[in-house]
Formats: sequence, structure tokens, C-alpha cells
Amino acid sequence: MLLTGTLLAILAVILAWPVPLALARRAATIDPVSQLALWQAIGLAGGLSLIGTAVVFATAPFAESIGTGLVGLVDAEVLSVLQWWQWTLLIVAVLLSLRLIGSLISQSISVARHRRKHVALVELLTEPSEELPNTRVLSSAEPVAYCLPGRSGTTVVSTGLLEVLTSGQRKAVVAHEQAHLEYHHDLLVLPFAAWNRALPFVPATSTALGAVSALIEFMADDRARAVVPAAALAEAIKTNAAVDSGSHSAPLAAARAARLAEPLPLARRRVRVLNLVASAALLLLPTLLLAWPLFA
Amino acid sequence: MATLGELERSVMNALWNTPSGLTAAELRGELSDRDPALTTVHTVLTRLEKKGFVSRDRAARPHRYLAVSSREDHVAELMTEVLDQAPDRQAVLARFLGAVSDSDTAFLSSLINRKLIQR
Repeated sequence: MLLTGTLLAILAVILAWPVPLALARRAATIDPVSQLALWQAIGLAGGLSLIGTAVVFATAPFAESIGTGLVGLVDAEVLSVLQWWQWTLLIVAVLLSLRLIGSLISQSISVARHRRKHVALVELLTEPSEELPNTRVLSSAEPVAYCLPGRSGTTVVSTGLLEVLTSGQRKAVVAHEQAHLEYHHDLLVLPFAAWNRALPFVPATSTALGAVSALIEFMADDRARAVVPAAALAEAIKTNAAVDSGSHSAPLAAARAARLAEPLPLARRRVRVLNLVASAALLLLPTLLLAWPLFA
Repeated sequence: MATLGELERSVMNALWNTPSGLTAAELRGELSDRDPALTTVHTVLTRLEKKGFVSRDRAARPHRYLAVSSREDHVAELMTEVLDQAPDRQAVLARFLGAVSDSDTAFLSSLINRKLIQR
């Protein structure tokens, strides 16, 4: 049990810091979909190891494995002989679990509330577009395009942006937003946003949130170029970046345009297999450590 | 429901154009091209009041309805929400040109440099 606990603790630390940092520095966008799966595996495996470590160390003195350890915890006799430090570890495990699950729930509620308010405003301030599918037009000089996910997901484009884009570029923008909506990219970001809020002191959570936010843009670009010319999308991105005052947009815009300038990477199948194998291994490692009594 | 949304928009446009406010009957006149029943106008106004876009002057007979904020203020409110730089807002809505934080800027610059080297 002590060996299991130590291994889990090492895994938790590695997943909380060096692994996300290394992955972010690798800046791989060859296959964004599987890259995102890898981030999710890191998040889940990290959380599992962290909570598992606390439970394993708390139950180690009286249990052969975490299974018997958890069963033992239901036993009043076992509970009565627990030391103060065992109680502390168990409370930490419970609080951590509650914090992670709770923040996911509260983040979902807050997102839904914000979106409802936003949809009400959009309905009053925008007109349905005659030219573009599932798109609403906002009369505003500020150049902006975005999508509002949800049951009645829609794309919103300002007149300020429409004026500077050609017809082909407008279609490309809408195709990109439609991809976000169709594949529910908002749900992929949600857990990372929630965990970043729950554990802001764990550097992995903000690194992961940033990487995932960028990855969904590459994913939407990949989907969009299946229905519109990649060049039109790249031009739309450049034009938007040129008229957009937000300085933080420039690096992502440049990276996306550079990616669209070339055909989809040939290596993406190989990278996908590698990423998926790595994700499965990451999830299996803490699961096996927790479940396998042989490690006791 | 789409028609109700359109009616709400028309009612708001009429109220935004008349800052002194309008009665339900006057509003119905403004919407003559759609010719809604007076009860429909009342329904729309009640909905808008519940959403916080319209206030009612109950002292006047008949009640006068006023827009709570100007159209420009509402657009500004919408834009603030959209242009918010916080990355966790991406779960609420996704901008075409999403904003990234400073740490991601480093990550993306390395990506661009790498592309340039590869060429």
C-alpha cells in the first residue's frame, strides 16, 4: 500500500506540473482532436492520482489494498481507531473530490445563466441574416464574430466585420463557428474552465485551459476547411486580426493562418494513434495502481 | 416562437425610438404592419418587463411602457460580455478570433517560429 501511495503521489506531482508544461511547449497542432483527448486524460488521471494518494495513505495501516481500505471505512470499529493524520488525509480526499465535482456543477450553472442572459439580448439586438445560415447580424461598428452554443446555438456577426469581409470569407467565418456549435466545443472547454477555477494554484489547470481553448480553434478550422476553401478562412482570420483591437488575439490568429496555409499534416494519423495510446495509458496507470491488490 | 421574438424586437425598437414611452395601444399602432392583437402586445410587454428590458409607469392611465436602457447601452453590454478576455468565458461563447492569455502567447509564438523554421 505504501508503495502504491508513493507511486500515486509521484504521478500526481508529475501530472500537475512537468507533463502539462512539456506538452504545452511542444505546441503540437498536428492533430488537435487527439491532442485535446490527451489533455483530458491528463486532467482525469491527475485528479484521480491526487485523491487516490490521500485515500491510500489514510487506509494503508489497516488495509491490504484500496478496495479493502474503502470497505474498512464503513466499519465503525475501524473508524474508531483512526489516527488524527488519517482523518486529515480522508477529509482532504473528500474535500478535494467535492471541490472538483462542485466546481464543474457551479461552472455549468454559471455558464447557463450567462448564456440565457446573453441570448435574451441577442434576440432583441440582432436580425437573422438572409445571406448566411443560422447567423444573426448585430448592428455595431466593432468587428466581431462569435457563436453561442446551446440548444438553439447560433452565430452572431457584427456589421463592422461583415463590411470588411468578402462573401467567401463570410461563409468561411460562419463555417468555423458552425463547427464549434455542431461538435459542442464549449463542452470540451467547460471542465478545464471549472478545474482552473477549483485549483487555480495548480499550474496545470491554467496551462491546460489555455491549450484547450486554442485547440478548439484549430479543430473548428479543420472542420471548416472541409466545406470552404482554406484560403478564404485564412484571409478572414487575417482581416479580422487586422481590424480587431484586441492585442491578445494576434498570436493565435497568426498560428491559425499559418496552419491553413498548408495542407493538413500528413503525420496526423500517426500522431493521433500516439496521442490516443498515451491517453489510454495515462488513465490506466492510476486506475491500475488503485485497483490492483497485488501492489499492496 | 420566432414570430414572438420578432414582435419583441419590433416593440423594443419602437420603445427605443420613443424615450418618453408608449402605451400598449400606441405600440399597437407602431406595429401596424404586423397588426397584432392588443392582448398579444400586452403579452410581449409582460415578457420584456420580466426580462428586465422594459419598465412600466403604473401612475399613468393607461400604463406607459419605457425602455430600461438605450439600444446603444445594450449593445455595449453585449460587447463587454463578448470581448471579455477571461479564457473560461470560452465555455459561454466562442469568438472567431478568440483571445488568449499571456502564457498562451508564448506557447503560440513558439508554434509560429517552429512553422517558419520547418519551411
